[in-house]
Amino acid sequence: MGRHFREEHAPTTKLGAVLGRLLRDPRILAAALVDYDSGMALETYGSSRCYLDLELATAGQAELMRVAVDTFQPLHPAGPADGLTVSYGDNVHHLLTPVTDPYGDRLLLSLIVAGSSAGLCMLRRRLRTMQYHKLTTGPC
Amino acid sequence: MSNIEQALDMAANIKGAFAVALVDYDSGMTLGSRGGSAEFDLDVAAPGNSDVVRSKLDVIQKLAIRETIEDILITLNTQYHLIRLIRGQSNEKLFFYLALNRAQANLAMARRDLRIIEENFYLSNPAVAGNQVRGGHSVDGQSFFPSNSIQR
Repeated sequence: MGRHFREEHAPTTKLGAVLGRLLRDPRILAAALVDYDSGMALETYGSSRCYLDLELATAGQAELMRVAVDTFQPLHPAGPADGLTVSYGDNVHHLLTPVTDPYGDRLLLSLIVAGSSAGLCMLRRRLRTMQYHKLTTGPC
Repeated sequence: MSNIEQALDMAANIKGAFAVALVDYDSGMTLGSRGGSAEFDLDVAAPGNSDVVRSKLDVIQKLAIRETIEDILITLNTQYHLIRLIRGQSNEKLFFYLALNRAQANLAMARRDLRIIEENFYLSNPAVAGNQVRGGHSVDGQSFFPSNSIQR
């Protein structure tokens, strides 16, 4: 359902517009723009190194985020505003960050990243500088 | 340009869209359309899909579910059909009908775009003036994604 694209199409998509050169970083295995409520992926990008079923992965990630929000709402009413990180044993990390949508959808930027925690720190620093508003343009 | 024409133009612009109509599901009549053809006859699709909408609303009523239908998504072999009901007064029974080519379209994105088009159309209706902006989701009461609650 979501539009899935590989490296050569990156620049013309919303993910390409926002993440730009970062998509060519070998540490980025996959990226997606996910609707939190439906679990649908609005856009997915998979590098040639990544053979995941991204439709399935993004549905699971939306579910993960929903658990993080709902289960701990009494304890953390503001929610996981800085996002979730799940670090798997094989040095692969899933980053999920909420994205502000002026049209009222609840969207997540999902990144599947390879590498050490130190590398992850640096990546997160780069991500903080990105212009996420281009992810949420509407129809024209 | 009227709101109907503007909304139809925007819907027709959705990637993969090959036909769109604004339909009154009470009468089955089309208030406007784009892209209909001999292969895809909107004059047949409009009253037919009005039946779909009325059937579903009927089931919901019989189940005593006190909720509105926001959209209906139908997946065919090479097409998607999206029906987006338009909020309004009880005497206005309208929906957008959008037919998409499955190979070119992105269902998730089209659903989102059609939702935004419906919201714009609803808000630009003079009868609606003074109604509150819905913006965001009323599925649950929590305010996560709090920056979305800022009115546009």
